[in-house]
Amino acid sequence: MNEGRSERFSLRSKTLVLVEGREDRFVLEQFADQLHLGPDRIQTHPLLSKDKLFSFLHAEAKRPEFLELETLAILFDAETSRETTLAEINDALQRLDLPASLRVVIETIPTGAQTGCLEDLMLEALTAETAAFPCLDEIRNCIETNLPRSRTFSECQWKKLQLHVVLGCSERGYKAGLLTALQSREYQPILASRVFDPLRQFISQLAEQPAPRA
Amino acid sequence: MLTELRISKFRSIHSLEMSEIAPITLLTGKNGSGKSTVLEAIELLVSPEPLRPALQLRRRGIETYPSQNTASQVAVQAPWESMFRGFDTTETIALDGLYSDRQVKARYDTAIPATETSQLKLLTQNPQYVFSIQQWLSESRLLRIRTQADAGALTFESLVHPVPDGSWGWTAALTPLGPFAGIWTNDALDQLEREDVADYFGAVLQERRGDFLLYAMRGIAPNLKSIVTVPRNKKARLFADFGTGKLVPVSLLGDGAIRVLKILLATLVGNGGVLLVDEIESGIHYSFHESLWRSVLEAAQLTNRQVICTTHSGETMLAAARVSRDSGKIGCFRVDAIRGNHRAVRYSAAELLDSEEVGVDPR
Repeated sequence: MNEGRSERFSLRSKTLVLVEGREDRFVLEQFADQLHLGPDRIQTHPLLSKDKLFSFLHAEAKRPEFLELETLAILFDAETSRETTLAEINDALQRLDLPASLRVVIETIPTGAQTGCLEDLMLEALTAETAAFPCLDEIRNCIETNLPRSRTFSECQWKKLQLHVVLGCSERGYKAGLLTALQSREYQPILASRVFDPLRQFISQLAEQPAPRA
Repeated sequence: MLTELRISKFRSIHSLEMSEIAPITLLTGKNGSGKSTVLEAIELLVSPEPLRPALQLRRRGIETYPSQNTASQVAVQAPWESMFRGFDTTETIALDGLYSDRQVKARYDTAIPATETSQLKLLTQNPQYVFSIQQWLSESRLLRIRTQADAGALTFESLVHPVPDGSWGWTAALTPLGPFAGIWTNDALDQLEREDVADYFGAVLQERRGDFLLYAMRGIAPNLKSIVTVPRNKKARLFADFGTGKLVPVSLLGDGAIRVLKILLATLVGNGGVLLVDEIESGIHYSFHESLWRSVLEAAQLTNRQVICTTHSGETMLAAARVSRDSGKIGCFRVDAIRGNHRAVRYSAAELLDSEEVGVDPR
């Protein structure tokens, strides 16, 4: 999904993580920060659309700073299928002439899951609040029944919608959008959930020195 | 049109290659990356006699002035060492290119074999220098310029040498490069500010390009009615007519309008050749960049002239890319100096626009 105009990018780190959305970046930066890995060690950039992966890397790989990059990680939503997402990433990478010395790591959110996105993890972390709204499935059924035929929601979009409902009705308060919620003090404890451990581990592994190539 | 360029051991550049050079080419890169050096190399490679030595020696603090010894010659106050990488004059500067489908070469060196003394004597054609050539050879005080076109042999073209008054002079042989059309450089643009401006304008009128010039100038000066020459102190001067009843000397126009006028005149005078412009966007508001490129592109097509320029402006690069789109008429290179090694990375117009789309700065 395209979330608007791309942010200006300037490579400042030897490890770059490309993600889809600003929320993904915020979450990963929080985890990196907890691991004392500032943006000078691990830099995260939201492409705002999976479709921009090739164009972004094609443009960035032409810059002299890219020669200094040691690790490139791509962490996209599994969306409807982990295999499809990985195949799309690999397809883009194969069309690029990246330096042979570059370590490339690709993964999906939730890590290892067949389908899903960051919102799945958020809903899981908000167990108590989600449980308070057993009508979520009914809401989905109602919307699905009444949506125009031309309009379809992916599983991830349903999760986003459900998360917005949960956040909107939460006592923690909800201002404007998931990113704002994540940035607010009320939601900070959610990121401590064990649900996010695989993501924390992912970040931690990126910080390790890449093994020299044979 | 220059489509390929190879530079070796020239100024700060050890080696650099460029291919697929477009009819309109922008060079970008950080300060000190070598953009202007690339322009100079192109100038040295494709400029016709008798400009080559004069242009080559005029750069970087090496001033020129008419020598007393020969009518059209140029002398220098400082030597040419700065042309050589690391000031190492024992090396040979090599410039190679593909110009209008012809392989062209230029070589600059000071290490001239003593066996070639007789050739040098012939070149100088001046008995008072012949006496000293042997001594100059041993001191590497001669700069030899050789050129080659197509498969021909490298041929002496010019010799720069000391002259008795303590300065430097040069002597030229016939260039084998043939009838290159004129090359218009920033130096030519500077001249436009002086008395030559009306001459250039007259030449443009003679070639029936006055209407185009006026149309193009209206991109930056919409109220301009006409440009006219008026004799003053036995010299024609250029005036702008804005329909206010009084003619305005072009020197009183804004810097941006003067800059655009200079660029357009330099693009519209004559036919063929290469126009080299350093920092083309200088003084021009970004909102006029697109109309500038549209005019330059049309003018260059009209005169079959290649335009190669440097820029630091992302806005002007994008404006050029938007004008060109997929035509292939406009391209860009970013010159990088990475740990002492130079490279030129090519961007098509589409790639420039894509870079903007994904937030990556091509500069």
